[in-house]
Amino acid sequence: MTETLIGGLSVLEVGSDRNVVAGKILSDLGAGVIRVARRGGDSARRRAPFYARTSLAPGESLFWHAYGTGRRSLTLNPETSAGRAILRRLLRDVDVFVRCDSAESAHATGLDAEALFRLNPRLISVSITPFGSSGPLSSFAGPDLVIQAMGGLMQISGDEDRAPTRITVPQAYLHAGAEAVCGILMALAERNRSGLGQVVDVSAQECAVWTLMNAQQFWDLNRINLPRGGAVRPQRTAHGFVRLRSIYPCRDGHVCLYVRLGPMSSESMYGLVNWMEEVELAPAWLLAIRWEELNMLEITQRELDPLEAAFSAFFQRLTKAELGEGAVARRILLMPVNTVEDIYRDRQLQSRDYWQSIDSPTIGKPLRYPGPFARFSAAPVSAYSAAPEEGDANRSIPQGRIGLSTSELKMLRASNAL
Amino acid sequence: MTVEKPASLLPLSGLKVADFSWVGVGPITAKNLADHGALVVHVESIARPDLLRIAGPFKDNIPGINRSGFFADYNSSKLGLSLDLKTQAGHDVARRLIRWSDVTLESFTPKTMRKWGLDYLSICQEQPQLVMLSTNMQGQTGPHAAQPGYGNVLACLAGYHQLTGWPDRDPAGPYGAYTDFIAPRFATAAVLAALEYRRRTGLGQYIDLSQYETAIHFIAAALLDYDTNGRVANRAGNLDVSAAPHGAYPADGEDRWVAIAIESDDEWRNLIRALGNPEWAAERRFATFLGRRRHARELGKRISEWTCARSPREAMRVLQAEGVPAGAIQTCEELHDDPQLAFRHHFWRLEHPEIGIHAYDGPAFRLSRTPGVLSRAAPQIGQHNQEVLSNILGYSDDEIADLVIAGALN
Repeated sequence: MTETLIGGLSVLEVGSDRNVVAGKILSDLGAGVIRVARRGGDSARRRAPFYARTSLAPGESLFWHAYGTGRRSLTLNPETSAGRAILRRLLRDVDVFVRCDSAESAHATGLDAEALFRLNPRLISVSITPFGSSGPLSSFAGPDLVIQAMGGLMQISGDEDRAPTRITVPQAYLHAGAEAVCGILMALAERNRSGLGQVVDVSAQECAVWTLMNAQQFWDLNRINLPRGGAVRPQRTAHGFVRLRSIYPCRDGHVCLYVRLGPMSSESMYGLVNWMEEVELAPAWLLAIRWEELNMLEITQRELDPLEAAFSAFFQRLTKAELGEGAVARRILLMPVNTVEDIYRDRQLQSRDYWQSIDSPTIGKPLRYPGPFARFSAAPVSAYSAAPEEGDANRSIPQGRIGLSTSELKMLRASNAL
Repeated sequence: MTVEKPASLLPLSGLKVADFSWVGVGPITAKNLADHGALVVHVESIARPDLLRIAGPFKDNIPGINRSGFFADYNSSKLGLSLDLKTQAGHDVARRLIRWSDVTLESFTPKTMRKWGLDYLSICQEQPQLVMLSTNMQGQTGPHAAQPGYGNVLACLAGYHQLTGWPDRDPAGPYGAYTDFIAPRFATAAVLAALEYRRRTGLGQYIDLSQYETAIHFIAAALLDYDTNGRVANRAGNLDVSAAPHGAYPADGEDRWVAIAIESDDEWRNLIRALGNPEWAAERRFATFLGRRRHARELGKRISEWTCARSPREAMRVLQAEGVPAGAIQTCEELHDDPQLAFRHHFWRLEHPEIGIHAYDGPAFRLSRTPGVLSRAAPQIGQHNQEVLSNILGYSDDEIADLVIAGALN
């Protein structure tokens, strides 16, 4: 068997929509991931969007299918003492435990950090919560919208004249789950030296703050709360604000043109203007501009408006695909505003064999998944296996891993522990 | 002069990283390693400095190569080495730095490292234990591999603009270079996983991380929705397919807002109670999720009557106390006095020689026994040339003088 990146690290996770991506990434890297949840109790299996044919039936959530790959499912009833005993038995020899409940609930179920370390001193115990496991807001509810709000990105995203907007596809716990993997692998590196596990406490809010780019610095250094903007965004100059368009309508959608006047984007701007000249859409004044000499801090709205009009006229003649390909050839900082449909058609992704097709028994046809998040030369990301049906490992894990006999297994079933 | 070592107990103490990357993804990845104990040397050219050094914000609003908070934030805990990779002597130093390193990061466009003989294939023969990560927009191979770009435009390619804003308007997109904040999480995990592989096998490897390919993972459910149902996801303001009411409601103050997300009937009842059981809330059309979603606009007006009399934080506190998921839509000013971020010590205030004391983002996770430490402010350009060349790479003073004369340190 070829060696995987993290070599069979064993991970136990309590089913939640908030940790599902962490388990997926760990599985991609070669971990063996067991997901435990009460039957019907895994919120990841109830997240939109759903496969239309079966709408709300658990197991048909496309969110679950997308992020539930590469693991085995054990349904366990922690209300029964036998269920709790199995969980504790598993915790005794896994490397990583990923949960999303509050510190209070962890304490109530006897699975607080101290109890876990008594059980397994090498355990890397991970908590993914909205605001962190302790602190003044740690008991606050934090669905995606609340985290995008409290993390600061919403206030500066969206049109100036309307309410702030979030990214429509929920993001908060994808960031938190991926960040958890970084923490887990840091703790693993430390454990290799010390032999000891520790707690990894992930705050989704802090992960969201980490998407603000330089906005928090604008407050910290200049005492400026950046204004909100969308396709047209207010930009600071030495004389106040100008409105700079970056998203332009084209023939069949939109494209994005990166304009930062001056040397940073001059090669790109000459490329664009030359292209416009080829089709006789570059007025003489546009051809005369020395892009490297312009300065974003000195520009005025009166100079920007004709630029916007000239670019708009050109873009409206061409499709996203034509503009996108032309930009590649001419090294222009322009890319199409892709839809999910465009992304599946993207030539670059196809040429890199990005898409991974896997059969889904519950949906009954192959699904095309985003492929490896990175290409490793020695130990590639593991092939995906379809998100498991609930309890697909209810026999194999208790018998194989814990060593229960068939009759003991029957007793567990009878007592509703599984 | 001695090289200051990070605290000995951090998870990555002893790890040596050569960071040839610039702008966002590579530097943030290297910062993640540096803030957890790795010794990271950040390499830049003075002739063509990291773009974030010339993008703002600047201390006192005065541009200057060592005055950018944008650059500083992503380069805490690192040493700074200036190197002109267009000179032969510069190459020699770079080669020595790579040989010293366990991990090398770079984010040039493909072929650049090959041109300089610093690519993985040229190096792995004599340094098979090296972990090298290249990250760029769209990967090292394929017809679009060489296309330059930034996260601002890449976010469009990866679907985020189509999915952010109002359906009746042009796409708005999230602020900034959104994909730059997805890729480093994957890049950090990739490097650490490769190091774990090396620990067991003794072998390094090469990692090609396309920021496009990682970013797509965060819209995977919408992709499968198209693949199975043929549905093309679109931006929907703040509406949610399975929660209502779900939106941003005006609060007291200029451009102030509070977010409320009701995901269940229980939460809806909690909201009604928190609003003081107003008469309209008993209307039948609001009794079910589908009704609330259908009448979202009307519902929004009613909820706004309550929210607009309160500050975002006050509304959040009242609502959360009643079991309603709600959050102040915080400005960056508020993040700097957010009690929870303060409790978690999210921002580290470090003293920089030219910027003075200013805020750095710390890690988004805490390790209980060995938490990350931002051990120093970001380097000024070339700040640690002497330390790196002499103490880390073992150049003599004469050799360093030769490098200066050859222009290798520009």
